[in-house]
Amino acid sequence: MSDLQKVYVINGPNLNLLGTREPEIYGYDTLADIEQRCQALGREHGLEVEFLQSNHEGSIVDYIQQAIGNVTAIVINAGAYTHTSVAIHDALRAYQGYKIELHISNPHLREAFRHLSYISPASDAVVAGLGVSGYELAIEMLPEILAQE
Amino acid sequence: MADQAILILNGPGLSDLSSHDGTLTLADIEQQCIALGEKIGLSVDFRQYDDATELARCIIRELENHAGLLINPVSYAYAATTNPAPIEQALQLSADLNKPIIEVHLRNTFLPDSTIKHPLQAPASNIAFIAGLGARSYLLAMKAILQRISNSSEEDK
Repeated sequence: MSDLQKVYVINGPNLNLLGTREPEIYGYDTLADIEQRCQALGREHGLEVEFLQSNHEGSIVDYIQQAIGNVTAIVINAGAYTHTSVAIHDALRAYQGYKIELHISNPHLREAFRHLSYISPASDAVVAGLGVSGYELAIEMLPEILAQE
Repeated sequence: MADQAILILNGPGLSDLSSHDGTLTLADIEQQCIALGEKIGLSVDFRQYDDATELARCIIRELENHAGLLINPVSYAYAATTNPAPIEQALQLSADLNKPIIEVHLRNTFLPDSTIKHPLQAPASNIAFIAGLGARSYLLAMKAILQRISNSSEEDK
């Protein structure tokens, strides 16, 4: 058995378009590029990182439920469901591991309809506006955080 | 090459962290920031102000001499008696400098029991936001600033 700690990085709607959709906001890296870098970084730091993406709210709820009891931490970028989904909020509350809410841009600097997050109050920490490097920075810091939890 | 200097500004109430984060002191956080800075090549200019106007003045005066800014505004963002406006104006005015700015908080400010209502509003400056990692909110922000500085200096080449 591997002694790596398992981490899910869950991505919501439209994040499969990363690299092509509004690159001036979201950057030119694809989700697969980010996944590769995070997995390499994870291995260096004792983490097994699995990237998941869905455009469907219910699938994201399923991913979170799969994490219960199986995964040490979740990094979640719920995309636009951040601002609408009570179902994802509830699933996150049911998951007892460590949770980081992540956004590539800072939603609070954008349209007013992005200012409310249902994910934030169900998360331990919020990281927003660091570009796609936010994923790597969060993964790199996770082992330290988990050691202290 | 000499280390680049970043400015770390702390708002009111942070001189006494006992109510925020148990036994952690602001001096502890400063030490952790300096230690990380020595490792990654950033020198740290760490300050705390109890007055919003002074904090704002410091941003206006000092940001241009630093490679980036970390700001933990604490009560400016929520307290009825203090007004975040001077800080937000200073950040707006500094937007042209195009320096990385990150708002940091020790606790997750979106938890139901948080007294902080919303992040700083300074749409012109591209502020990032990190909350809930304790002192590591600062450390993560430092690493993010370093990355941003190194990326933009590569683009300059």
